[in-house]
Amino acid sequence: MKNQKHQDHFDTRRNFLCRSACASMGFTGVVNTLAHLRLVQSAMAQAAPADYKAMVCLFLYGGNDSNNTLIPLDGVARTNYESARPVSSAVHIPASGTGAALPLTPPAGGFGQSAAATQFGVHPAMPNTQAAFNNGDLAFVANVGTLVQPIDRAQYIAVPRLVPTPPQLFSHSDQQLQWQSSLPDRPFQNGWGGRTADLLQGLVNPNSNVSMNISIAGQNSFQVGTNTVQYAVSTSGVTGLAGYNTGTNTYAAAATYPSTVALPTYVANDAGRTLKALDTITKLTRMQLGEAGSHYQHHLEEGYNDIMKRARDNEAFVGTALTVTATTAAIDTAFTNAFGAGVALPDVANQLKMVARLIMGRSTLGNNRQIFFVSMGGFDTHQNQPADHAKLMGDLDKALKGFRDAIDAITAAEGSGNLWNDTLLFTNSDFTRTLQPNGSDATNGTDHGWGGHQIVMGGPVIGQRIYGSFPDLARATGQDVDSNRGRWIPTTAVDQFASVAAKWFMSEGGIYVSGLTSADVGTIFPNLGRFQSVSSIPSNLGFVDFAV
Amino acid sequence: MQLFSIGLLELHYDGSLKLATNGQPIATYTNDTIKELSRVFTGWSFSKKINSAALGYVPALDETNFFGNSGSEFFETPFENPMKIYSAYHDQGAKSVLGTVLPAYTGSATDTAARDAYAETELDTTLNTLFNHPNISPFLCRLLIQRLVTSNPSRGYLYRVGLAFANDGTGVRGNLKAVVNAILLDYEARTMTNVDPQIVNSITSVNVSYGKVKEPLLRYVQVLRSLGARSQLPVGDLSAYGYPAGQLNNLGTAPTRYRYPATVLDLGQQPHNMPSVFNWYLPSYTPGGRVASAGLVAPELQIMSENLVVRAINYHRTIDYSAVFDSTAAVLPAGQGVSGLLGDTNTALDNVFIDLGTITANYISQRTTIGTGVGAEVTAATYLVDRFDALLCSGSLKAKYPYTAGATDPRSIMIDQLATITVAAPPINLATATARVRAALYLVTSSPEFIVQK
Repeated sequence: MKNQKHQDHFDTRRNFLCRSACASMGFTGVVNTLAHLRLVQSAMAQAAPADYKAMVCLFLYGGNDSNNTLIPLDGVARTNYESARPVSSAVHIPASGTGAALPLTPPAGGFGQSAAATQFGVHPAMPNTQAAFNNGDLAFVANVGTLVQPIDRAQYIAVPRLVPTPPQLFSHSDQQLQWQSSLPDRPFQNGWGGRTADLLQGLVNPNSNVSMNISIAGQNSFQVGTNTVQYAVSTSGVTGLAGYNTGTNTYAAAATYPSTVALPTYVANDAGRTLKALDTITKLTRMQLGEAGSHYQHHLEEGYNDIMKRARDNEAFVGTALTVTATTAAIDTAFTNAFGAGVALPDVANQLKMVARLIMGRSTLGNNRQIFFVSMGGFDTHQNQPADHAKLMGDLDKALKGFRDAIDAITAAEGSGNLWNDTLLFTNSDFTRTLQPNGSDATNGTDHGWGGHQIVMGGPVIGQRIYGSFPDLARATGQDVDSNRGRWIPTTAVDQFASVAAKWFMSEGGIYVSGLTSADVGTIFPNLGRFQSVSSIPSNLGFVDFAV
Repeated sequence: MQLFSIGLLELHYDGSLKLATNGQPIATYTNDTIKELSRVFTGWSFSKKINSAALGYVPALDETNFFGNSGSEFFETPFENPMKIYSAYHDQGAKSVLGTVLPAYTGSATDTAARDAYAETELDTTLNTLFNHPNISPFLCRLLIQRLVTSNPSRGYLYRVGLAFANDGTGVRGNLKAVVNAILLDYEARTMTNVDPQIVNSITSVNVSYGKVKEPLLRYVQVLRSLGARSQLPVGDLSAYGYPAGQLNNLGTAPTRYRYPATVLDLGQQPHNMPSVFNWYLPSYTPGGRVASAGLVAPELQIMSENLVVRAINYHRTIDYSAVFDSTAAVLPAGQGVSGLLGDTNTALDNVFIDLGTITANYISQRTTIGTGVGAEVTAATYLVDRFDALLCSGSLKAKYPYTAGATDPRSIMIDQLATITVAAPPINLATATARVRAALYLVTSSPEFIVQK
């Protein structure tokens, strides 16, 4: 690498900073030093990356029953699947015949999961996912979950249990939080998306106009940073203040804005005076005593005002980004085609549509690296699982298809590059669900589990693969924590899964962006070293082609 | 257990974590506890079902089927009545919940009454076990204080309220009246040093972490309640829906009904429509930025995305600008639309509006009294801001920010701008007064002083 000497020097400074900060701030100090690192890095005038990358986190809230998303079709895993979910069970998905799982074509050399099965299928409501998998656009990572340290069944059931496990396993809110922070053994302070932005923002986005972290699904923990904040837009885009518009121009009746971003000129009328007063009240966000314009010294008032200020500041940029209308119709068409004409799009599709539109307007947003958060709810299928889960899987399947086609439509409209190769989407979910259902008829469902399978999709993904280690689905032995329910101890930690995506995000053309090293991965994922070497990716988790 | 009684980790009375000998927090329960507890709840189901449509759905009928058809969600009968036990579906084995042993049923297999009583007793014992758990006091009291007074209570405050939960002074545990008294009458809730500016080492400062953000729903309802909101639907109409005449007579003829509309998209909230059992926000939520770096939580900010803060201001604007400004006018304003719910009434009659008639009339009279001298417009604007400040912000704007012409504090800004809105020499007309009154309300309800309760 060309900046090797520079980086050695930098490493030394970082280590010094880290040590001194840890000593003075205690254990959680590592995360807090991100701010200082960023300052040092910015001061060293590193070159920002020339390419664009978008990382999309799709959270399936409620705990997706991934046992019925990725289904073994043969081998010991199939036998164990049918033992827990026999043909008589309403949650059973057959390996062949009516309502069968849609088979996945194995790559040359097979899936590499022969200890469990050699043939796999996806939920019958997911034909697009099947096609994307077979085309090499999509892959699964098997049995991922929250972990504090590697642990096996014997260690889990030992009394006393000497190997620590994540607190509050099987609890929605806690497991969601732990997935999003990747630090189950610490009080929540920030999410890994937030830490990534804390570390990268100054390095990779020198011309940034909005936050690196954009959420289409409201506030979330994944994008909480110490120095960076998430910006939330709705599926309909940004909302301006009402009462100041002339026609479609949101503020024309009250103010004119210069072409560069600066203070507006308020019109000398009632609307202009009211808007001026409102702007001034809600932009007084300087807290420190003595600082110019310091009036709301109160933390909570400042917390609220920060949101209001961001809303007004970002409104203009995001609004402009969304006015890149050339391909809006093509994006709409992509989703309409995926769901069929006349079908109302589910929320997740509208969220992904907004992500596509923001990617389309990326030059206005000014970020070379952008993290999006979208979500889908309703996965807590304790009851009525067969019908409810099929609907969810179908919606997810079509939304992913729509998103993929929308990104291609943008590429086609732009006439150069290939945005799909700059896009990486992955799913998260609280946990998977018990292999053994809580009843046999169609009104029943499944309960809270632990390790589950996740989808990764995008141009950089080496698709048509099943990464990680697929469990043999044996109950009361193997990976099961229980006597009979089938809740899998994860074989891949959230940290490992997430770090592969983060490494892709931190790199350009296969090497780290100038100013970053593999040690920075350990800064974002402090627990990663417990599971693997921080500097390399285990052979069964290499789902990204860094050369794309 | 996790949300409504004992929480996840064992706590001292002051809300701090109890630690085990290895220095780690102690979980209040394990997955085994949940399994045992779920066995206690087996066999409980709906006790009532709705009547037939031909009979107008009333009266409610007794349910006899464990899997009973509870009917459309539109009809709440099954959910309004206590559950009952179906012994055939109850697990009668021995159980153990949080150290309390629940023996197996040993009576006759055919004695339904005894089996019902067994399940009832078991449930009572279990609930009492939870109720007597030492954690319930610090855990619930913290949540109550967060809802009523401040998001970040001190340990001393928690300790005092926790003791009131454990013993109301007469030996009774869990007397909620005594608990709420203890919360609202505590020194930390009453002292003015928390809200008034204090001069420390010659620097004027306020208690920067005291109070709570009002959730958008409560903020909106506060405006409705403070400003005489009403619709054109008389409560008397309810007699057509079987509401007892005796009750209606108690209300008189003046009150109107408020049919709460769908406000999820505007306020982020709607009654009885939480996204999950975790409510719209978690009690431990902290946004990034300065609240987090101060080590504080601000639970209600979890609902407030950039979009929603703007939408909420717009929603408030609708009701501010569509209020009654003239009490004598024959035609009522459009008000805030409440369409989007089930039912078949005239939407215009449903609409709710606030009544600013008195305030507007008072303002017109004040404006005349003030006259035309230097600073008359500022004096008039100050009257309006202070009036809404007193109604909606407990007067905190006035207490914190003495007016200085041209200053950039929120109160001075509001007064300066309002004083330039539709300037007119007295006697002023209704339209001129209206422009100022509604702008004043809009600005006060958009100010952080109103949005944060202190």
